[in-house]
Amino acid sequence: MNVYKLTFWRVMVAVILLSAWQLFGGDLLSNPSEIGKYLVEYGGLNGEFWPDLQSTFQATAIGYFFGAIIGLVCGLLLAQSEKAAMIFKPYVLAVYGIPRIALAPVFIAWFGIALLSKVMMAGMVTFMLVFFNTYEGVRAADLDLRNTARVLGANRWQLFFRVTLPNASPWITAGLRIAIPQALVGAVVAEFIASERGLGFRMMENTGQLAMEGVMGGVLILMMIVVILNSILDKVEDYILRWRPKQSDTETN
Amino acid sequence: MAESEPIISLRDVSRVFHAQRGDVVALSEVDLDINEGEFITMVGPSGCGKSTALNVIVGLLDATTGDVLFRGKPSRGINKEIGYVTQSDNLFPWRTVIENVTFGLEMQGIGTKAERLDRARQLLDRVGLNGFENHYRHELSGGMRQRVNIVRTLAYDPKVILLDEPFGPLDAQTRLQLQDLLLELWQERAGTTVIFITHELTEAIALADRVVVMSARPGRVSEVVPVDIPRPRDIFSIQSEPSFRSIYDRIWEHLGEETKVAAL
Repeated sequence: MNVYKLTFWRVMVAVILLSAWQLFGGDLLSNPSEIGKYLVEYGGLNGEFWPDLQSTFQATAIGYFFGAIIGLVCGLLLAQSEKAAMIFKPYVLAVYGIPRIALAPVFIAWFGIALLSKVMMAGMVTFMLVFFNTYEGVRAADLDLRNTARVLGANRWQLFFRVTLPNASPWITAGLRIAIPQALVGAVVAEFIASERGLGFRMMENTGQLAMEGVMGGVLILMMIVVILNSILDKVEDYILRWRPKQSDTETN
Repeated sequence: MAESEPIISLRDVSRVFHAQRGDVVALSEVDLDINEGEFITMVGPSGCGKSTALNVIVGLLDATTGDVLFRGKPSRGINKEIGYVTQSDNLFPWRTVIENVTFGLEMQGIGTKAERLDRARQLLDRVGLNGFENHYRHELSGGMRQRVNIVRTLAYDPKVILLDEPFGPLDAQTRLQLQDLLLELWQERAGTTVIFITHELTEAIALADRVVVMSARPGRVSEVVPVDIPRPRDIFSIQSEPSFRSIYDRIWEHLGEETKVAAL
């Protein structure tokens, strides 16, 4: 199938689904034209979308920043010590096993309904993903490569920065990468529960008024943000890990 | 070869690995003197402790008993005078070819960055890898990877170079070419000592001043066979040398019966 045909059929699927939605949507699903109208108003120059986005983005970014740094440092430190790793392993696994969303009400109780609780939620989600991936990545360090580096004259520090860290970089990058959309979800979930502004707040407000076009519009906005973030992150990841074989390369060893 | 003090001496070296199903003696009372500038090959069945011997010599493993002497002094920990070319290429996949080659120089702080790159480029040129400087490991063939692996060790000119079946997985043609290249590079570096493990008898004879024949587990030296074929040698026709057959037979004889199948 060539590119044009592929595009044609993809557009057709969208047209059919949207038409069906428009015709049979009803009250609870709203319909595309209502949602479109809402999005134009909400996302217009003077719409409330922009302060909402800023609020959510702020919480996500601050939380992500600190969560990533702390996760990275903790992961690297814990992986250094065999004993510490053995002692903490069950606790790490237990904490990792907590459904992260379940912590949102706790964080609201601890940190209030303003920005801080959203920052903490995004930060905690980021921390767990980055921490776990970093830890696993460092633990998976290739003994043969380490020995090779030692024979070639690497000291302890060089071994860490020139071998262990780059060797763990695919894991670390993966953690940093999946944490971005997850941090956003963390912040939005905290907004669902209690907040005064933000994308999640707006969706809850619309739900309360049974303004389904607003709720659906919110879902659509979140979807687009995550898709855009993912495509940017794919590019960044490809660049950082350009030394790795592509999946299309048949020879792997 | 020089009759001065050996550069490496193994004195009664044994190495035992503790496993859950009992101890495994990988090396048993190995005694061996290696002279400066010598090319030694080691042959023996798989599992006879050849690789263990190299790991002990370079200092990645401690001997359970006995001593490894370097220029007459016991050596502890990793010996920086010894380079080690492992059986799998162990290239750093996140580094380009040239960055792999400069790794040792970089770690040891030898030269400026420009000098290091210059040196690496010259060596890569020598082994026919010009144009591949900025490739990553996954973009190279097995033979190219092994060439980079060897050049990475040659780059910082260690006094002793250990090679553990470096041409093992390669096809016969590539293998011969690399043997030839290795001999050439060794002859350019006067005084460099080489210990080369292989299970291929022809390769062992073609390269060596002396062939160390190891016996099956527990690994010990069963015979040391001198190779008096004059240098420079023609790797491609080594088998037609008059003394080749008798050296071959002598090594064959000392490989234990149970190991001959593995050596074929």
